Amino acid sequence: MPIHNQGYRRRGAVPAVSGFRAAPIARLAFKQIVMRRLLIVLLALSFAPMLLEAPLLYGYIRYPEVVATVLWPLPQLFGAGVIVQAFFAALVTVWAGTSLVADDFCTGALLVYLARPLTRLDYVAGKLGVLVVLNLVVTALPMLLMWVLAVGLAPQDLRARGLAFVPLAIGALSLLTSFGLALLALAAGAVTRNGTVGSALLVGMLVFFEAGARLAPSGARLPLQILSAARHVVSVEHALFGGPGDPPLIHWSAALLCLGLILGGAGTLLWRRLKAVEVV
Amino acid sequence: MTNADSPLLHLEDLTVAYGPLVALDGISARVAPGAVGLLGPNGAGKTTLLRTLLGFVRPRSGRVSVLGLDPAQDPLAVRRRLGYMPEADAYIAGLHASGFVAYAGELAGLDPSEATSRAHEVLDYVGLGEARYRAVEGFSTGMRQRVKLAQALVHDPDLLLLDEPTSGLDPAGRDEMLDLLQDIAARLSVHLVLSTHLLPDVERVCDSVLVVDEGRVKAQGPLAELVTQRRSAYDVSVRGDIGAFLTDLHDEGGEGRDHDGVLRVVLPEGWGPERLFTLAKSSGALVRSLRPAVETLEDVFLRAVEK
Repeated sequence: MPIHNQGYRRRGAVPAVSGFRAAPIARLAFKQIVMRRLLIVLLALSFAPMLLEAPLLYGYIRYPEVVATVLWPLPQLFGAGVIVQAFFAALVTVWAGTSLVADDFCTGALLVYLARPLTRLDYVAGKLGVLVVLNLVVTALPMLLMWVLAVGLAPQDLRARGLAFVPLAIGALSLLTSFGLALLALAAGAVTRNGTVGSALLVGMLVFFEAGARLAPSGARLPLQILSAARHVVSVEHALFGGPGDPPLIHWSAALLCLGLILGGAGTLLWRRLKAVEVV
Repeated sequence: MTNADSPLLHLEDLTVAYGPLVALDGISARVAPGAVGLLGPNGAGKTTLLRTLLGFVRPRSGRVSVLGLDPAQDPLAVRRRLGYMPEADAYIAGLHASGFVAYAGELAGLDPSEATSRAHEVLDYVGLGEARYRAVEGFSTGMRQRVKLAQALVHDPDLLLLDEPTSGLDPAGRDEMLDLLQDIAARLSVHLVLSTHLLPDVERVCDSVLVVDEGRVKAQGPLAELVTQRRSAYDVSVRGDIGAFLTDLHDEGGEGRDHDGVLRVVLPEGWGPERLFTLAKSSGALVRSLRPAVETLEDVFLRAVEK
């Protein structure tokens, strides 16, 4: 007696694929991320700096002369704020990002994706898109809320205090940070085929190059600075917001070029690992 | 669907290479609709051929057509109409069987509600109705094979590409899987390409075969036709210089190989069994027993790959 159900009938037609093909991939990736409870805690924590920044902002607006003597100009507060938020985005990415692709390598799910009417680009777009949006929620959203608060407190200062360009700068820096972190995480997951090892690799590389860029003897510092994605983000932040402290050693245009090369390398690595699954 | 005249697969001087390594070397074949067995030893080029049909690998030269479509030119159109069951494990971590199969349906273009209802139907069909809410990670090998089949079937493809579907199954599980494949091919009229090295699986499920080895097509055609091509074979027990006997037999155009402890001998064209005795004598051997044998698909296969 056959075990299968002999009453089964065919659907009658293959479905047409329409709309955004990466949508189901992004939907599942989002579910997989939010199923991790620690992530909800991390997301909540990422808004905690606002509790400190909001009183600071109030001080900036109400007592500009006093605050200006001890703190940076107002736009730089937003730039520093994005960098703080980028740290939380890195935590979110390390926690939830690398396993998005690594698990698919590990369980053989990639062939299930790639044997459908989807391209590798659809697959990457679905995974990367969710991670970028999540990182933007962590990096851009709190700082944009802060900007709205600043404008609400002193609408007349919008032009006089150099606040008009701030949303654009927040958006650009957040997008750069969010995209970069997400791409590095997916590449680390693809290389290691294991979420935990991929996370360790990502953290290790970010910390190693940043620490090396700061602590290495001056002769060895430049190569490490070139490879430090965090350094380049800070350089771009300085260029956008006029960051505090010493100017970065690498000019923002060179920093952008280096970031492009680092992310291009990560993207190529991810692409080749996906291609290898189709071929081998 | 394909009509009766148009081939399921059409390969024209197809060459696929990975750098200097040529995996498929100018193969040509025309495969009729139905269930086709893709046979060949390990490393013969079976998986490369499947991946070329899926549009994963672009041919270096030549043409390939699947259901009348060119996977090199329009891989997404081909994949819309294909279901692929990979050989290795394939599941999505954290999803239960029903969620996994429904998700596979969504990836193929079904809307979420239809994908869910199709997932239930297909899981019932493959005999996993009771286990639909269990995590795939906890499934046995047999259940994993069936859930892989379910994800390949969920969007109702016209052609299923099956890579070693009975691999790792116990005899009962293998029997159930072959029952399913027979039903899919015969009752549901879904075309199959069954890549395997298990010849009995092909004999049970397929109408035709394509034998590949070292990147070349060694034999192809309807199974029934290959059977009629089987030559006179005898199971022979020989004493004496067996090596010399086999060499002489081969020189005369015949074949002989060990088959369950006796020699399975295929006679040269026009020979009767009495000439075997003469040949054995001249080779310094003695035929002790001889009985007619039916050549199996395995013999046909071995002969093809030894050519």
